[in-house]
Amino acid sequence: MSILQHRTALIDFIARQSGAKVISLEIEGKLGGGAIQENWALTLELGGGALDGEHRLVLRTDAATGIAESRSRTQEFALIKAAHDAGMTVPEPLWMDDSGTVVGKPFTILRRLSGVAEPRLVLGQIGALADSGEVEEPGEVLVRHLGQEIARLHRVVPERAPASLGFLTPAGDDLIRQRVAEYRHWLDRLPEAQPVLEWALNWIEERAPSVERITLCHRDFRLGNIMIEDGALSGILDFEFAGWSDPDEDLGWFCARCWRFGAYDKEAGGLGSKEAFFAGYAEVSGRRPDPQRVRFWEIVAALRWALIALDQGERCFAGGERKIELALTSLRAIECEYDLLLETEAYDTPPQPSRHKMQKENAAEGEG
Amino acid sequence: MLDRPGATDLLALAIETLQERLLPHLKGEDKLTGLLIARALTVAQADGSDDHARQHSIADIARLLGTPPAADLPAAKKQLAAAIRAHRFVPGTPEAVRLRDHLLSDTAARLRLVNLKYMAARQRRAESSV
Repeated sequence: MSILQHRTALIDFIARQSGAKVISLEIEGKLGGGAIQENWALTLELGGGALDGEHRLVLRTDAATGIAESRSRTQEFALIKAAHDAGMTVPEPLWMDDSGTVVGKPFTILRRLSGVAEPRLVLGQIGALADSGEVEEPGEVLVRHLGQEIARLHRVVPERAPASLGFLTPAGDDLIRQRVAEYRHWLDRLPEAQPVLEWALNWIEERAPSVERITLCHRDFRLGNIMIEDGALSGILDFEFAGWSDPDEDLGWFCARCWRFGAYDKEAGGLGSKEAFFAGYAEVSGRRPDPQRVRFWEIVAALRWALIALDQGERCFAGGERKIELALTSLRAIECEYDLLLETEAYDTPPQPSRHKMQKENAAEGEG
Repeated sequence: MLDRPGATDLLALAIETLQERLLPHLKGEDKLTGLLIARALTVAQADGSDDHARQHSIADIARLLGTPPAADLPAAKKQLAAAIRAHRFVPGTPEAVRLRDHLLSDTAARLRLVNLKYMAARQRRAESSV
């Protein structure tokens, strides 16, 4: 059922929540993106109260079918609020309804950010900015900023977390073991067996590093969930997978090959270097990420994205959401499987000097 | 059941017609949908003509497990996945090496069907790092 049919109930809700008179509410239409939820653009004018004036907002609610791992809209609201309070650049969370009585299902209302989030458009903006010469290495500038942003979220730790995050599953030293068990369970729900993913889970289990810290993590921090305007960050979106985890999981997810959108040499999100990303992270957190730990989490990222991609296919073939985009997304799992097999081998193989370097060293020895 | 035109002929013709007569006239969202349909048909066409690879994979899995070949590929994969989860392939052993080789060649074969460009990009990168 469309939000448009609930306009009057929505006006009453906003008036109650804001303590102001709703002078006008325009429901501009459904925004693109968001395979798991619907986003509606609203323009609201309030009279009186603390929010007097015009506001560009977004109403988020669930799509027809979700995926196994995603959170409810009201839980997501609490997560965005925690991120906002920690100083992360996110859409300001305003109101939520978890009763489902206003528009027929739970929803949240956030401030709408300007800019683009679609990865190709973001990469286009960065490319145009680089070509114009206005900003030197805009991709490097952006990933450094993104490193700082994710470090701000990682300031939220379980010991000092707001009570509103009480719904999050606790995480501890056995985090990776728990994840492996969860992903095996996920595999069991899929209709076809996945030998490569089973193999990768064994690999992850055997090489799991110790978990040194637990923080609030975004768990989907990548292009597509990052709003950019004129090449600069306007906000981080989509907290539906957020939870307690090892902060290196966010860094690995951002750097994983599956999230570089074809710009494979730009290891930080297809935008810039890991050096700049890690430097930005260290500026806020005081901790320089360990590259090998991040690589481990990049491998976990490939596995998790493969599972999500397969789930998208099931939304189409078993969930009743007959969309060709979902069916084709499930094929992306094969790219992840290939990455898993090659990246695990690279992880296990100690770095070898390049042929060029060996030739130079041999020549130097010869000269000696 | 059909001989001529068979499934392969009809699929090839459908892709050709879509690409030459329909796609050039589509715009915006419709163009994107048209491209997705063309891609789905192309993958289906490549997969349909790959029965030999399917049989090869079933035989390879049977060799790895030391069992008779399964009735079909999903059944073979189910047996292999269960053996992997049961840690039947001990790391560092020749069996584990053969398993990884099988997984890599099977995955590469499937990736060739769905995204040859992705595979080529990876290979170019591996070569350039030598």
